[in-house]
Amino acid sequence: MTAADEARARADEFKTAFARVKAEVAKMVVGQEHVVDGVLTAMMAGGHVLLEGVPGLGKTLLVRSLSQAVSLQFSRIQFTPDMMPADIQGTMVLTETEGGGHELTFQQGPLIANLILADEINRATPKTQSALLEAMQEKQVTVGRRTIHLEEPYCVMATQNPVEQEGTYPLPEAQLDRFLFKLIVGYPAEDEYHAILDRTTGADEVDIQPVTDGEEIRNLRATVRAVAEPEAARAFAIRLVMATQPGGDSAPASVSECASLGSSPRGVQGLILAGKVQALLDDRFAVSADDIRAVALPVLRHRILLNFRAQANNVSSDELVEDVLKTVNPPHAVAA
Amino acid sequence: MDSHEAQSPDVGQDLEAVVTRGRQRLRAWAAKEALQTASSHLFLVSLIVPCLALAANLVGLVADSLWPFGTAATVVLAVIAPFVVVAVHALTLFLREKTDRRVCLALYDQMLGFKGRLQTADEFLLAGSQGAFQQAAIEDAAPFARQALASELPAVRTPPPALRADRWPLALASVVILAVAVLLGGVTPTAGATQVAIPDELVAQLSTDDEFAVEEETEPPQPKAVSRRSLAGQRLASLGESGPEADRERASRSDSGTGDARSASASKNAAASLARQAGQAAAGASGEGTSRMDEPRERPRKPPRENKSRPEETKEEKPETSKGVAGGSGRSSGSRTSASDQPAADDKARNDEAEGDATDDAEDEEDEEQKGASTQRPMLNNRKAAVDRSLSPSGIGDQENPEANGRGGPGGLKKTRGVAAMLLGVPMPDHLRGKSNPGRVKVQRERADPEPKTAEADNAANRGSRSKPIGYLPHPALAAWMLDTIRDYFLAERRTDDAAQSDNTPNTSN
Repeated sequence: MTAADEARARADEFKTAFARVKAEVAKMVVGQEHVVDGVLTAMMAGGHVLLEGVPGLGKTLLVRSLSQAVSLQFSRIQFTPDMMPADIQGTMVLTETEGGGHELTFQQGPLIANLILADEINRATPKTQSALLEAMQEKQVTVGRRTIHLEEPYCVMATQNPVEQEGTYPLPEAQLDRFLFKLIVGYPAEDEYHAILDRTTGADEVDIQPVTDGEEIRNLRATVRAVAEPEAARAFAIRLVMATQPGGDSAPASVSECASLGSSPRGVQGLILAGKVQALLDDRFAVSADDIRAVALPVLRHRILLNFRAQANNVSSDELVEDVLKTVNPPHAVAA
Repeated sequence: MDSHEAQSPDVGQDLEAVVTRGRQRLRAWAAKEALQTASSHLFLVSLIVPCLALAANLVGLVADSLWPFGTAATVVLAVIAPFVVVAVHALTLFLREKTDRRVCLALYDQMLGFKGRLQTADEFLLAGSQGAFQQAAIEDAAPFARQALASELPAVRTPPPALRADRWPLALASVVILAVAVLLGGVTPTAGATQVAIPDELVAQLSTDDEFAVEEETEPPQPKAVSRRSLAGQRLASLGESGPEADRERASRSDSGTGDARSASASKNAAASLARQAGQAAAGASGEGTSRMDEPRERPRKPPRENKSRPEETKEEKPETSKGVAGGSGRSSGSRTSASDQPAADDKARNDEAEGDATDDAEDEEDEEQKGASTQRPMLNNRKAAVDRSLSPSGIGDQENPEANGRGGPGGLKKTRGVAAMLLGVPMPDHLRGKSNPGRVKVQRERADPEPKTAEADNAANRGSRSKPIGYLPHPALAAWMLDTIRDYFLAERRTDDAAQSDNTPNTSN
């Protein structure tokens, strides 16, 4: 078996596992295929996902279904305004010992798991939201002098409601930047409504079986990272990210006018990693500019901070990313 | 590895073939694009020859014609030259275009939708060190490379040469300019065609005019002198000078910058330079170098202005001027009309003129500064102190302070300085509605010893007895059980008191 055959086998294994998990989740979640693909892509790439949508579209259901399908330690945190960092990280509590004495022991919070559902994350104060920063980036939690390394795979999937602004706290940029994808959950189509009614109002119960586990997901992540990245794709990703930075040489005029902050280098990492997943799903062994282009919107939309002019003119970050994609060409591309 | 080693050469050869085909295709495109780009400037370039011809013929109206071509040649040149320029430009653009290997492969990737497979495989093949996924990518590209060789790229429509509609007026303009240039070329005198004999009276008249101008330049400058002199030079140049009188004139104008003056004989130049040196030595106090004196006079001289502020400078200038003229003529035996001392006087006059210009400029700037600044700007010799150092924002109301001397203090509304000047001039209402601003509160503490003071007791006054009934006082209605309870309580208390009294009372009944 040659190295190329081995790579082919790993790629096939990845595609199969991806399809299995997707099919299992699809038992519960109707439609929203791009959202399911995005969530699975982010999980395979080792990133976190922010799901944004109005209530009732199945954001929480999707994450819960995924947790059942991948057989990972799952914990759900319902964020509330009075929640404190210790509530999610854990804290020292006084416990009684066998001999009748007392001692302080660490009671770990719900953040210490494999798959975290941070439901309505923008309802918690920035103080509590910031407790996620270390866990999301360094995959560890520090409480007092105790540092707990989180077990891989570790994935935070947060949901938020874009409409309801009363009593919510917008996510700080540092935390937004830690999400690999920001996926917009939209309304289902008409035929999907029929399927939703069939599955939720009938007597039959949907049973989701675990089709993969943490070990396999770790292997799949290693496969993703092994995908080759040619210079052209890498240069294209860098150009895209630099074009989102206002005032830059390659930034289009709309970005310079409407954005106050562009993507960070995490954006490039996200583009390449997510592009590798796309390449594997497309039966290729190297990421291409087309893969980068396909994942640019969910990777970059939350990394562009709009300024007052954009808000006044109702310009969204999606439009700016579209402008960037129109402006920036892959290296060596021929203008037809 | 075997299949990889077997396939890599094939893939490499296929990729090379794809690169070759892609390069041919790109060069064809580059040629078309270069031609298209260059042709977009065709009408603009067509203006060059007519404009040059027009300019040369315009110059030829007053001087020798600089346009060497005849009418037919000019028309042919105007037609051919734009195409030649466009062709050269297109060739330059085409040769500058580099067709990179990666661009050739990217062309097929892009046109045939291979998603970068050819480009990626070529990069990994050239890099040498390959991992598992790189090898897989190379092998994956093999069928696509063969497909690229088998397929023909879709034809790319190249737009016709960009003869833009908005540039057609340029073509019309070039035709018009060319016609005008040709017409002008017909009436232009060619070099050496007209040799006019100059009457001696006219030459004498011109030389007299020139001397008159030189004499005037020692006096306050007049723009008329310059124009008359230049007119004389032009007339001499156009008529063609000959004869000893004209030669003397040329020698006297050797520094006027015209080509005619420089053609004077060397001996006369030597005499002129000797006289010039003498003039410079005499006028050396002015500090002007020869380079300054050789500068062409471009600015017309301004009419003299009265300068009352510095009369002593005007007085100092007059002897220098007279001394310079006298010195220049003294070396040449006092003959001012001779040709040798004429340049010296000329230089001296120009020297004085330059000095006068510099002085005038400085005075102008000084006057403008004074006009722009406050009218109460103090003179340097005025050592008066400021009127007042008060920094009150309003000065003396809206009126100008009549005693202000520009050295600080209130001189008007805008004369205040410091923090007080930054206060708003617009009265603003107090933020607390209905309360006027109390203004500054001054607290003054006085040093005083405490003094003990005696206080008299205030006796309670007799309020007197009530003279009228107080009237009906409503009592809250109590429940029956509460009335009974209260009644029982007080009865029990009374019994207790009675019993105590009976016990304490001594028994007196015996």
